[in-house]
Amino acid sequence: MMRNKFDMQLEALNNSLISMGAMCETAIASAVKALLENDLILAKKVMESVRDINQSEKDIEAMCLKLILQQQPVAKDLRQISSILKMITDMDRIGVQAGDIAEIVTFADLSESKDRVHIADMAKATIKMVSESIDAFVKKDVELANQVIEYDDVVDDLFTKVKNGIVNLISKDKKHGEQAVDIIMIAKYLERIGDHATNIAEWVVFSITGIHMEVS
Amino acid sequence: MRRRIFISICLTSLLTLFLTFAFITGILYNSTFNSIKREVRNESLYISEALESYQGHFSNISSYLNTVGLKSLNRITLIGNDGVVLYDNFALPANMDNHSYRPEFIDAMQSGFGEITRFSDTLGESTYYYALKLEDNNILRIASTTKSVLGIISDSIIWFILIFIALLTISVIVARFLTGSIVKPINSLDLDNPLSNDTYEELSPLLLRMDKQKKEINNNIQELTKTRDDFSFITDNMSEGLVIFSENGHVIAANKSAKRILGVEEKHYYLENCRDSNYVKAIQSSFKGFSANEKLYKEGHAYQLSANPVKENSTGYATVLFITDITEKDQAEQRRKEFSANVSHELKTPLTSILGYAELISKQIAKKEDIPRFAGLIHSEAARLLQVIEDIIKLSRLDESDLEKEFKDVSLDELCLSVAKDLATKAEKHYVKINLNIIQVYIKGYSPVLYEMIFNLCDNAITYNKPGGNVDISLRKNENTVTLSIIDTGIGIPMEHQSRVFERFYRVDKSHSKDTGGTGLGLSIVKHAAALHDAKIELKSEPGKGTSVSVIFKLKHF
Repeated sequence: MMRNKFDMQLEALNNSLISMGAMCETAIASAVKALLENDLILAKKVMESVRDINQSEKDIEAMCLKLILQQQPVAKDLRQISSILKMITDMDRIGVQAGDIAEIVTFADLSESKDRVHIADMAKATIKMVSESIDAFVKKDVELANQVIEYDDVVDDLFTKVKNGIVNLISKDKKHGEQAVDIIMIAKYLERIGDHATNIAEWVVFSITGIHMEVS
Repeated sequence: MRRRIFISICLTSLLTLFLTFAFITGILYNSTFNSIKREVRNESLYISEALESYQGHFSNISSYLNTVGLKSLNRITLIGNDGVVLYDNFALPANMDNHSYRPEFIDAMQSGFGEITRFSDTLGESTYYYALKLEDNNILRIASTTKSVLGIISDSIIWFILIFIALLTISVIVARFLTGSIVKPINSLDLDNPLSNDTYEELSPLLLRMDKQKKEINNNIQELTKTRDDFSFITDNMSEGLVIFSENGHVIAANKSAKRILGVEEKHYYLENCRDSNYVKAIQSSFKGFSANEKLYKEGHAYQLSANPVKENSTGYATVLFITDITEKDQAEQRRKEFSANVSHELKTPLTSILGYAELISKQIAKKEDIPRFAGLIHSEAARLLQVIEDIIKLSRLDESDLEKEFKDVSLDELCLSVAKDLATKAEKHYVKINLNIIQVYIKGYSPVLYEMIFNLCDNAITYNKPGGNVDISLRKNENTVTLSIIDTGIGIPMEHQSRVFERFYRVDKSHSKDTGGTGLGLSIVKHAAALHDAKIELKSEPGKGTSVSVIFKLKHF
């Protein structure tokens, strides 16, 4: 059976969003890898990829607006397009913050402090959230999206742990002060990325069920 | 077709209708006109007879004509032989012009009678004139006017139209019915069995052809299905993954392995089930037309991804992705890297000490009384170096593994005895007791390697033992296997190290402690020796309680 043009456009839009999601996943995973392995070249690559993610956002935004104007979608289709329009903003922020983490890696030597706090655990938890939020979109899986939303608490707890760790570190030895500031910034970026992943998951839930949970 | 037949029938009936109508009108008109003519001629005959009976009595003639003229529907004109009108029952003779030039008059003058039909287009009438020469040379002319064909038509046009519409309606209904009955056999053709139809014979060449093509198509489909089944049987049973992507990024085909490894599904977008960055990089590069090779690490396995672009058409590239499991190769590479790093470390450490002490002595920096101690250190370091090199040589010999050619019957119990003897001094030093529980057993093997294997296992059992501990060497034999077990009561190996102790230079004690000696190659030699003899090693260990190593030889070598 021939599919109509709208269905094809909608699928292209879907695929573009998945591509953008994959770019974000790669960006955050690479930024964390650069951080943990002190890989400056990888960090620079991440910073470059931010521009591509931003371009993706603009492209997808244009696609969404064009679809809304030309096809005047209703009900589920409209919900899907409008939630995609919201999701790309969160994805773009994830990309920018991954870039920010990479930028810190390029100028700050964190080798002494990073192993003493739970930053690696936190990074892993954040990557898991981003990955699963995009998975939830791909598979249209409300349950997985809800899991992501709940998992945000884990990342928040880890943020508190990292913060306490940093406080301990400074209280023991003041020379860690500068590194501590960088680490707390990275931790904050990761925490924000977790929040953006939560937003994405909420929009996934909205696009499927039509119910949008308020950001708590 | 239905429409065409319908239109044809309609047109045909319309045409028939029209032509019939035209001919009938013409024929009827003609015969009507002829009977009028006849009537006019008769009338002229009667009147001429009457007139001649009056024999030139004009007053009688004129009174007769007046009487007849009033009653007759036809025009009666009496014309003198000079053409002057003498009488007319429709007009005053005085107002009428001379008729001598009229064709019917001229004809009548010449041959006794003349006739002509004149048409008046404006009135839609035709008038028939019949002129008869009387005996007195006067001419009697009778004229009858009747409607011309056009006149008749235009007069009764409304009836014609009504009849036409009625007939048209009937013909449409009939045409519809006929069309239906013509098309019905065609519509109800059984196309699955073209030859079973009993229908128009004009269709039989078509049906025959259809039957033939149907058979051909079935054959082709069967062939294609078989080819496809063969292909998918082959691809599904290969351990390598194979995925084909269309140029717009959808999975066209994927074999079982690929589905297992990547989780891809047919008809899905390539990013839906796997978004590993290396995978994405490889596929995207291939979509741009460049081959790409990337490694994918997933669930403890390493895979080589080879993505190759296929030019499909001008708009883009399709991609063929080939996935090979390179876990072992990857790990081997990893081990080789570790091994070279370890080798250089193990070789450099003693050499650096030797160089240092030697330099102290040669530059006479060392005090004289220290020289013997330094020389002793140089000696022990050199011995250690030698030991490492010997072990490496042994290992590389084992790696070459062409020793199988030199396999002979070897008595394992004798080897155990000689190892126990050779290690007796060391055991005493460590306050460890060696217990032998052996039976006489022969296996096919290479004696020096087997000796080395038993020696290394026992040596470890003593070295990592506790004072007052035991080392039990036992040999057991059953139907298919010979089991050599060396059980100690030593410090044991922590769980997380157990899988790696057989690696080269792997030390549980990371500090590479010199207290215990050893090169870190002992168990590696054991592993290779066992592999050479196709034997299996089982390691059981509990930290603090002891370790049991069993080497299980298969008896197929006998």
